[in-house]
Amino acid sequence: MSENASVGLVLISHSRALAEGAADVAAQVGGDAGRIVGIGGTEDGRLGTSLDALVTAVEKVAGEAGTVIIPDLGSSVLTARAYLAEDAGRHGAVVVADAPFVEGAVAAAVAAAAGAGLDEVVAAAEGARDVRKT
Amino acid sequence: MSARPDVTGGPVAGRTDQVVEQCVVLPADLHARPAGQVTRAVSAYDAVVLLDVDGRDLVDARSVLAVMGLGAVTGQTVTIRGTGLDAVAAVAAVAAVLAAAQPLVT
Repeated sequence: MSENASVGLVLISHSRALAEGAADVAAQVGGDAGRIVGIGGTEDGRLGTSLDALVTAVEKVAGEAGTVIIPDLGSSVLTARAYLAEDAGRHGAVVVADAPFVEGAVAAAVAAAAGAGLDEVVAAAEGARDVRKT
Repeated sequence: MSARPDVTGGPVAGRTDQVVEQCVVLPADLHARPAGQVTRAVSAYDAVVLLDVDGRDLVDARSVLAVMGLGAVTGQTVTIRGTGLDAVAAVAAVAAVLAAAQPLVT
């Protein structure tokens, strides 16, 4: 499998710690740390989201299999939508998944590491919505 | 040709009308990392693999969150049941992952 053959994942949150932590967990369960990146916060370390940072992150993981963006909430969602509106097509197929942040990231990371296609990875992430904890 | 699933006669690779079954007593809790390994292992095969723990909670091994949701712990018996063209290899791969599960190092 060539380096960028699997689907790339970008997790975006207001909090860099939250996004990077979720990416760490997903990468460890998925076993493929190179294809997942978590971004969040402003350049000076405050809470926030940045379209520029999202573009850079997609550039980093994008490959022939496409990229899935998983936003947490609020302006992360708006920034992800803004990406689709403004940057669509420049880095191949990019889909925003409507999924729980951590669970969706883990399910997507495992599917991507197993070689699933873009639609399957999105479905894995969105299927996380129905998993009960009690 | 019998339509009855052939379990006791020994599984044969490449047959789709058989159920392949294997049990593993967990040497460690089935936490997130081995659950991921189970799902990745199954994904390589043309087979449907279902897991249950001590006879309950039948889940699809392709869903990492469902496998984690089993909440299976050390000493429990996981039954791996596969159907499909690659069922023999898929069940063996899952059994190997479960049998090699390591305790969490904290």
